[in-house]
Amino acid sequence: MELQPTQNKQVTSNHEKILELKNLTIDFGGLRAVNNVNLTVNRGELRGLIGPNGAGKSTIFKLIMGIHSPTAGQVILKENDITKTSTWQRARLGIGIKMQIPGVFGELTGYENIRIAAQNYVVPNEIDEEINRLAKLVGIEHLLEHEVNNLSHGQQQWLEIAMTLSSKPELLLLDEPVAGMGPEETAFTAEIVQRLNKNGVSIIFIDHDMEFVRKISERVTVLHQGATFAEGSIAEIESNQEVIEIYLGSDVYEGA
Amino acid sequence: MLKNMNAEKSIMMLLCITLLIFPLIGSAYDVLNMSYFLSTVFLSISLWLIWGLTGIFSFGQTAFFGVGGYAYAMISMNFDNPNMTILALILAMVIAWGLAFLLGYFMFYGGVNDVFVGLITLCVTLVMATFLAQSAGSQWKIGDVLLGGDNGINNIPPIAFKLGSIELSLYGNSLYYFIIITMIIIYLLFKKMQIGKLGYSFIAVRENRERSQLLGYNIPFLQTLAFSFGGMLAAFSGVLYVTWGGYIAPSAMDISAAALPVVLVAAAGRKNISAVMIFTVLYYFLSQKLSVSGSEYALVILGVILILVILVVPQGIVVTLFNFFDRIFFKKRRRNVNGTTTDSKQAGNF
Repeated sequence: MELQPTQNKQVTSNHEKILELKNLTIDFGGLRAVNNVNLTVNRGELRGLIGPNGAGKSTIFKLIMGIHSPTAGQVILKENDITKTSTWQRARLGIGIKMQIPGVFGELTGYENIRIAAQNYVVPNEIDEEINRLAKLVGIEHLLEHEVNNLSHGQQQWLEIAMTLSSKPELLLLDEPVAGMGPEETAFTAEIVQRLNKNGVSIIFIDHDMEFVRKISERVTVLHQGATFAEGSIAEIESNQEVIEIYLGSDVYEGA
Repeated sequence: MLKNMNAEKSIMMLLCITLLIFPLIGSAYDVLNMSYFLSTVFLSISLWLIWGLTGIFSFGQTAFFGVGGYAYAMISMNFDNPNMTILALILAMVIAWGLAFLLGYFMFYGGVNDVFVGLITLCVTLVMATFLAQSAGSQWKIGDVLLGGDNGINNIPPIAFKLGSIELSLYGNSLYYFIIITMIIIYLLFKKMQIGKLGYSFIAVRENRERSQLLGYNIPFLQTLAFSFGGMLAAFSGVLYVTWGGYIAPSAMDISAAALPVVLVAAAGRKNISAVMIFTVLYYFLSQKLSVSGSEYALVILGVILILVILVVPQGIVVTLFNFFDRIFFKKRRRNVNGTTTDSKQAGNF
């Protein structure tokens, strides 16, 4: 941390924390969905978040975005406590999220979808340029005039990634980006995610598809029953006997 | 020029020209009637703004219509100076804006949405109508002006302007032109707003609030903004109505009055401002024609027409007609409305 973060992102990228969750806890009624989670993600990292159903992965994303407020604990973005900040302000601070359920505006066109996503972050006369740039980035530039309801599931997912990127987020949360995609679509999505990460976007993603996780992830955090269970490189995680027992099990051997 | 044409634009331009020369071809009686029809259009536009564009379903527009009318009456009648009527017009709109802002603030920042907004606004409207209906008697007055209970207020002065020897009072043709020109200005402003940043922000709120806040939209703020200016427009409509007839009563806010704009906007095609405006004028025109010739069946006939429209063409009768004409006359140019599909889609599918 000798250098100021503003001077050179590349040099400091391995050390600077972009997101820190401290003792994060949330109760829904009597159910403790997230239990005392501590998680640190550095700038430039591509972090996988895995765990069985009900482990609290999506809830953690919602806590990061402020859709739920935690019962206890803190969310810290770039050294600033944002636990009490409202959702839309967090979005403007540079967190982008793609939720599990597609969040595109189905009755509007692709152009309008990206326009709505992008217009808060560019000056009005550059908006069309920006829309085309984003559409090209995820390979949907030929679909801009179509009503989004008529696009395929994969195309909608990519459109949503483009929308999420329009705020030029420093931290990107992807909740099951390849859910419901075929092998080719999955490969393309993996390519997009990796390209973004190379361009300096820190990414946290949730996925059940171990093939995908293995392909793109450097570091993986395993959640179980609302708490962090293990953390390490993908190889470490896959050889961890306890992790295999709670979650990976069959998947590892099938994939390998 | 023809390249950028579509059914909606051509019809609106045609209507605009017709309405501008209408006093030359119609009788004084026709002009008077048309002024009334057009003054109600602002009420429908206000509902288009908050419901059609922003997705807030409200029964409260007639409440603000009433606030506008009553406030104008109170202020203009308490001063015996014609110039005060202009101030009364402005104040009536500001008061309605403030009330709508307050109500909107508490609803939207409190997380009230969808059907509950409809319920709350309906209650506010009915409470106001009930309160005013019981305000007969000399103890109910503001300044020198009696609220008048069910009978309402009579002899409300028209908007007037007096400077030295120049005196202008808005009634007859001058009121008509005041209304039509304001309407054209507001229409063009909204059309421009709709394809700009603010318009798309409202559309984002309408389409999906949860998603839009994740994109950085301050949802309660945008809702309150739309709702408060919707209230102001409704109040403007109310002021025009009272200056036109010189009269307002609580029945202007009762349940059937509150439901009417909602039905009109829904039947016309709520997402399209042109459709909403055309259908409103058409409705008032028809209801007057029918009540002259068809006596008590007028309301039944109109009700049946509205039900049929909503059943057969749920996206709105006028919007459907726009689409139909587009297909016949402008087929090849449909994709090129703006160089993109932008305003073709969001303005309601035409």
